[in-house]
Amino acid sequence: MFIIDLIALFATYLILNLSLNLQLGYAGIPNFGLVLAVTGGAFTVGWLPIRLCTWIFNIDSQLGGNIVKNNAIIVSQINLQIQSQPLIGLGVFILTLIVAMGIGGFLGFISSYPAIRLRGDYLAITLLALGEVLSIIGRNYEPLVGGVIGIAVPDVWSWLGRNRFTLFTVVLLAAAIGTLLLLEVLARSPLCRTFRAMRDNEVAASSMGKDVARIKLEVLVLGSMISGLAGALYAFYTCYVGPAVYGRLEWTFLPWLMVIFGGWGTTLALL
Amino acid sequence: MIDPTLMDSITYSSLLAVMTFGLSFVRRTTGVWNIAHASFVTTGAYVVFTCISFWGGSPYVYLPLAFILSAIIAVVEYISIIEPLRKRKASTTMMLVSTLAFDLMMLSIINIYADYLQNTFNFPSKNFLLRKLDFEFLGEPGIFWVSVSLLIGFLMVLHVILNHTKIGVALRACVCNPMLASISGINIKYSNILSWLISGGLGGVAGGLLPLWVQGKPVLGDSLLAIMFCASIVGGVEEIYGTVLGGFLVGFAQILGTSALSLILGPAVIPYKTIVPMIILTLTLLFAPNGIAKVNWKKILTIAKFGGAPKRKA
Repeated sequence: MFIIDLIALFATYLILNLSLNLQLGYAGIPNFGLVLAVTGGAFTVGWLPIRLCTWIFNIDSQLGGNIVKNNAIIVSQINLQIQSQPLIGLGVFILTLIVAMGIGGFLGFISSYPAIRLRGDYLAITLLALGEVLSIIGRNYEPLVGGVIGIAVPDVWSWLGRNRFTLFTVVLLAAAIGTLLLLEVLARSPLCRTFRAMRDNEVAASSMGKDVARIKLEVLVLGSMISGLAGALYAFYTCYVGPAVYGRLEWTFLPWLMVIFGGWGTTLALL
Repeated sequence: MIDPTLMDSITYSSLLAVMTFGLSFVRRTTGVWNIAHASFVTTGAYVVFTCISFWGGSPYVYLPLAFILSAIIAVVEYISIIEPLRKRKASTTMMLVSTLAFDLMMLSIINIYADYLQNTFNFPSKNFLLRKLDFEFLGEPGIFWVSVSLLIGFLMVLHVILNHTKIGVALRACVCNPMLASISGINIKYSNILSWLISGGLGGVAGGLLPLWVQGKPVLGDSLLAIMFCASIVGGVEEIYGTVLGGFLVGFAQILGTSALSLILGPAVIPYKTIVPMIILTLTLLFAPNGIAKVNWKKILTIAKFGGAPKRKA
């Protein structure tokens, strides 16, 4: 079980590190606000699937009226239903991941918009400061993800029974490899050459007609979508979302150290 | 008797201004955003807590010790990490990451130390409040008077040092143009060490005072880090005294502003007061990217008064 947990965590961090590598390694954007998009993705998992499943499985309306208070009972009823209807579980899983990526991208856009014209460390510090916002809202606005205590998430993979953790880890690994391949393709595209040009010399890139602010925005949105995916997958794996889990230390500082240690701009070193 | 909310705002803003000043000062002198500044604050809090736990007395007595220890840690960080990286011409982002690594190391050390105090001596080192040990003056808690006096005293001393002493002039020269200062014969390395020493010491003193007002914990400094950065950017890093202005703006908006908002929107807004600095930061970046200290208020007032810039006579 320890090994499986380790692999799952490895896959999650690999996705997140790939996102950071895209932003820092390819485009030279020091995003110290990674935690914002990760939290966005995780909070989507804390908010959406339980409501979606309550509606689909027609869970007792009295219970569904207060999802946070009746969280444990509702989740156990949903898990029982998913065991007999795995396709619904898979559908909810895929839909939530898409929404989580959208939310991540949107948060990336919102946080980067005021800071996009800044350079280097100034941009990093601004993103670091703005990265806190969602966690503060999550802690204080209980209906979102249950406030400080957090919320249990329906186990959309409960139909796998005892093999749930093992097989979901395989899914996580597949997602990480998929992201890696996608970014490898991107790394060889003309778009990435534009990113690199901006990273190496912003003035030269803009003198060649490239809209540097717009490119930065695009990179941050794309990177935040991937970060949102990492947060959502981790939340599905643990079946729990709480603001305390998504701190700056674990979801910004540690990925930064990993990327620096591995060497930014090189995918293989990240592994 | 001062209104409690106003008193809280002044106390918090004064401490925030002192902490932020140190952060902006090293950014100006060495070009480094020091994330480990948070650990200087926490170190100061733990120095005071340790001394109080072992020897008792007033927490204010131990502030010089908090200054010294935090200043030493800051100098160690500069000499062991920043200076070698500067010699290798590392980018500002790389130096920022190196301060992050130092902060994580310090955070771990402080956590281990807090565990040691708790397990060996049974001190409540993971969560402590020293408010009971504070004195009262004119019906107000001592932390209010001390934090305000600290800020005013520090600003006065700094003004005298920067304007009337050789070392102060050298520091100012390093802040304004390090290259030119170096050509003029100023020892940049010692000036930088001095600025880190001041920065660390100020962080330590502010940290030593914080447990008299809020709960002390191993992540005390880190929980204030984002707010410190907000205050620094809002005030404007380019202006030495701008950060004090930023500290006050952010501190007042966070406490007094949220309190005023709660009267209109209800008490539900109070828990969100930590978001206020981020909102101010966003507005500052949109409308005054160089900080409020760099805003041309005269021009804005003229525009507000005449509805446009005054036209010159032909």
